[in-house]
Order: sequence, then structure tokens, then C-alpha cells
Amino acid sequence: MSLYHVGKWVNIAGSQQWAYLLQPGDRVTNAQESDATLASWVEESKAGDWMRYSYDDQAQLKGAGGYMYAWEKIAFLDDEGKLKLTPAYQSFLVDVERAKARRAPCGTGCCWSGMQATEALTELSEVQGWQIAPPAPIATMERTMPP
Amino acid sequence: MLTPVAATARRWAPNANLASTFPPNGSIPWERFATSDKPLVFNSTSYTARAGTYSFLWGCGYDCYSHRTQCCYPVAQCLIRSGAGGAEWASVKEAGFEAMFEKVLKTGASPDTPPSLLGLWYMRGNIAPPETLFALHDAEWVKTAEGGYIGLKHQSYNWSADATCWGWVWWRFRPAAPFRFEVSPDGNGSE
Repeated sequence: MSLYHVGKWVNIAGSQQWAYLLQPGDRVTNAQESDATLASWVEESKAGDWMRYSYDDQAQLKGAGGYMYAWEKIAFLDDEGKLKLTPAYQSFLVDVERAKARRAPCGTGCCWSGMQATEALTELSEVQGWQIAPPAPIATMERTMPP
Repeated sequence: MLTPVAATARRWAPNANLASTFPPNGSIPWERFATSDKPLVFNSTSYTARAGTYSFLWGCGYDCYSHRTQCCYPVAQCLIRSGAGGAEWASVKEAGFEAMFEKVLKTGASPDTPPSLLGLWYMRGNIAPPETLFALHDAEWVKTAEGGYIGLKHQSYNWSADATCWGWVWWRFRPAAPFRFEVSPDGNGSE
């Protein structure tokens, strides 16, 4: 039995929300329109990035995705504990700075296609809020482990 | 490798009612999915259709929802600048933005964090605001006998929100119960 998928999936909240560790050769398709932006998520992603994906048939991981985006690692600590930024951090900065040229008058987006909306709706806030906290205490897991 | 706990960090506060949130036997039947060695194809048709729906709602009303919404912008700025709710805010145009990454990554890590999930992650292409950046090393991780991992992660911590009214409200009033993450076994488990 192939173990291609072993260790490469994350299930979130016991629901239809999945994430998959991208591998060489994986790709995005769109039957309705040219979709260079979405395809680039896979093409530009390095090994170790994830695709967050929801399947119509969550029991079999089949069917069209109702929702999808990528998890790209933008920073990590090296062996000496120093902050390292990855090339994906540039993707983040681009999405922050991206021009809002497609936005219609009065801040609306009437008559956009799905792809135009995708591009506009993924423009980011340049300010992000955080609440910093240490790891959770190991105190509650027993109730969530399988028997 | 454990890193020092930040002196100013807040203590994680798990929800006391987890038993009703997560089924006790909720492990994923991973063996069902270990059958293909072909590259995967992700179909984005439904995704762009959903974005189009958002576009319709946005275009025919007012943008009160996107990552960059200007809805009640003055209120949002007042809440953010006053520090209401305890969040720390940082702009990409300021030197402190990348320093915030270091603060998040140096909160200390659960010793059983899956190596493939270490680091700070950007939700690239996520059209559902206000979530943007997140870390998972601070979840409550345990290894399963099969070589997988189960973790509980609270979105209130080490999980960023946009500087908008919706972002502040979402961040302040998001569900108290943590998310349950389950990573598929690596095939090298003890059983």
C-alpha cells in the first residue's frame, strides 16, 4: 500500500476542514476560467507549505473544494533561536501593498467575476493585531484523545 | 527545542467544556486515505464561485467585511490605538512588525509540536477575514500511538486579526473553545 498521504494531512475541528502538505506535481485547476493566481499557490509554494482545502465529500476527500487557500511559512527560528524570514514573506508583503485598481467606485465591487473578487478580497490589512501567549498546559487533552 | 516563555505573555486559558465540543472517539480513520501515490489536483471552481458571491454582497451593499474594509474605520482606529481588549497591533510599515514575529515564535513551543507545523504561517488567499497570520507551536500537542498528532489551539492567541472593526470584534468575541487539529500518522508509530 502506498503511503503517499501518510503524515501529510491535517484535519481541523473534526469537520470538513482539511490541510494537505504540498508535494511536487500537485496543482490547482479551475474548469470555469483562467486561474493563474490560484495555480501559483502551488507553483510558488515550497515543500513544506500546506493547502487548506474543503471537499464536498469529506468522508472520501473527493469532489470540488468549497473553500481553499494556502498556508505559507513566512518566518521561523533557526537552530540558534534567530528569526529567519522566508521568500513567502515577500508574497505576504505583495498582498499588503497590492493596488486596489479593480475596485469599483464608492468602494464597491459590483460586477466582479469570482476571480476578480478573489484577488480583491485577498488584499490584506497592513496592520495586524496579536495577543501573545505561551503554549497551553497539558491538562485537557485526555478528554479529546481517541480511546 | 523549548524556548524561554515571554515574561509578558498571557497564560493560555482552555475552555472547561471541551468534552461537549469534541467527540471522545473523534480520531480520523486515516487508513482510508493512504491509497494513492498520484499528485493531487485541487479544483478551485467552487472557491471562485464563493468569492463571486462575496463580490455580489460587497458590490451591492457596502464593504463591511473584507480584510481592508473601511466600515466604522474611526471606531476601529480608536479601539486599536487605545489597546482595548489587550491586543498588540503592528504595521508592516513599522520596524516592530517583524519583531512581533519573534515575540510569537519565542513564546515557547509544545515539545510534541509536529515538525511540519513549526513556524509562522500566512493564510495566502484566505478570502474570509480577519484571520491572516498564525502559529501552531503553542497548541496543546500530543502524539498518538500511530505516530500522528492531536493538538488544541485557541485562536485568541498567536493568531493575528486585521485592524478593522470586524477584525477587532472577531478577535475580541471569537469562540472560547479551541480548535482541534489532528495530523495524520507518519507510518512510524509505536503500534
